[in-house]
Amino acid sequence: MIENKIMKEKISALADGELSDFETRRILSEISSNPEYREFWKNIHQGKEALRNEESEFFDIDISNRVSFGLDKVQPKFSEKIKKHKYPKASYVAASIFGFCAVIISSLIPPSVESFSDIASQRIVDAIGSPEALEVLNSSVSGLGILQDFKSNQKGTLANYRVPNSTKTFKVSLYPIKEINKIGFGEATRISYIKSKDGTYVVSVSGNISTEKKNQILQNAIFFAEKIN
Amino acid sequence: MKISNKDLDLGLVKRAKAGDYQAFDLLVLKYQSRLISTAFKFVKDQQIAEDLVQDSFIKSFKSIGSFREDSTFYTWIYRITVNTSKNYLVSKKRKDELIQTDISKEENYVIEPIDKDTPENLFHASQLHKIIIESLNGLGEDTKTALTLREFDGLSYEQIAEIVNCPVGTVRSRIFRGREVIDDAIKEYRKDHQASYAEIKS
Repeated sequence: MIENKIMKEKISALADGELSDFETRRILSEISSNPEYREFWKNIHQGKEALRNEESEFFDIDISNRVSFGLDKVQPKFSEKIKKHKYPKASYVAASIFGFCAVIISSLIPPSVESFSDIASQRIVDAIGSPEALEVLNSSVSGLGILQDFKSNQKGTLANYRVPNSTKTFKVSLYPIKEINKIGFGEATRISYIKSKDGTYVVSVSGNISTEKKNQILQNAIFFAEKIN
Repeated sequence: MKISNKDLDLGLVKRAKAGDYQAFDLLVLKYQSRLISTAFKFVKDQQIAEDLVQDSFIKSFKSIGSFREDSTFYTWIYRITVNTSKNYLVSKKRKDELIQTDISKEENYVIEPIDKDTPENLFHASQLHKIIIESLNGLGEDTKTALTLREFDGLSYEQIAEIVNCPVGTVRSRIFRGREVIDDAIKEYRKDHQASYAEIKS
């Protein structure tokens, strides 16, 4: 608690340009790795803007993860640095969820998929139903949606999101392939498969958002799964 | 001497130039909302505005070595965002022309920002401003003075310490305490704001 306060006081000083170079260097990774510190940094600046009557109506949107993912695609070394700090729990997910090489397949399930589910380890199934699975989904939709509610158990995770500043909603799910019947397929549902040595998993996106956005979420999910491996 | 915004960002910019993405990430967190507002004025679509700002940040990080620091980082990234938004509209116009050759209403593609000051937006903006002012007024006198001198007058911690006759460390703590209260108020407002959308939805 005290450490948390000390760190936030340093973040406050950094926002005012009052932190030494040495201290700045030390706290940057701390801020990157801690959502609470990131929010505090963001709120300091939103507070400053609001005091000057310059606040944005998009104050609750955060696209920072999308930017870091985008940069990783072109310059992997930078996002690699962030990843290590930003998703500490993700290493658990990494060990648990996917040992992955990921593929997007827009066709239906191949007949042999059942065998993948048969060999899915309990360790991975546990991870699918863990809070970290939700973190995977949240990372995938970062900036695109605000989490409304979710259901999670050992058979999968289903999360509902709302598009920021809109009434549009969409669902993202992560299931082992044997639970594919949990996905309510419709014309608007986009899915991708993540295949690992331990099994095949299905990520699906459905709802009232564009196909482009759905594809982006799927790509983010796959990208994130690859990165945390 | 006041601390300019240019100086505030300079340390982070220098680090970003040296390849420190974590420093750049803080600039993203700091400016993303304002830039999405800027892009939204052009494209009138929030998701497209977010995409354009994402692209703008990626472009800026890739070319940050060419940023000469004779303007603020915000001015620089703002220009990139405006140009990216305009390019998007030009590209969209070309695509539409290919599909529909008879475009008589050329004014549909006038590349000028639209007015986003709708009553709803103004209401939310003024609400947040009001809430933060209320939080500021609820602070103890010492805390309020330190934060006011910093936020409204842009004074450095050292200058504030001289004015209020206390150590610099005390100024730093007081400003932090004030920001904690404002942070809580913003969080609470954000929660209510999101709940109101959920209510509209239901």
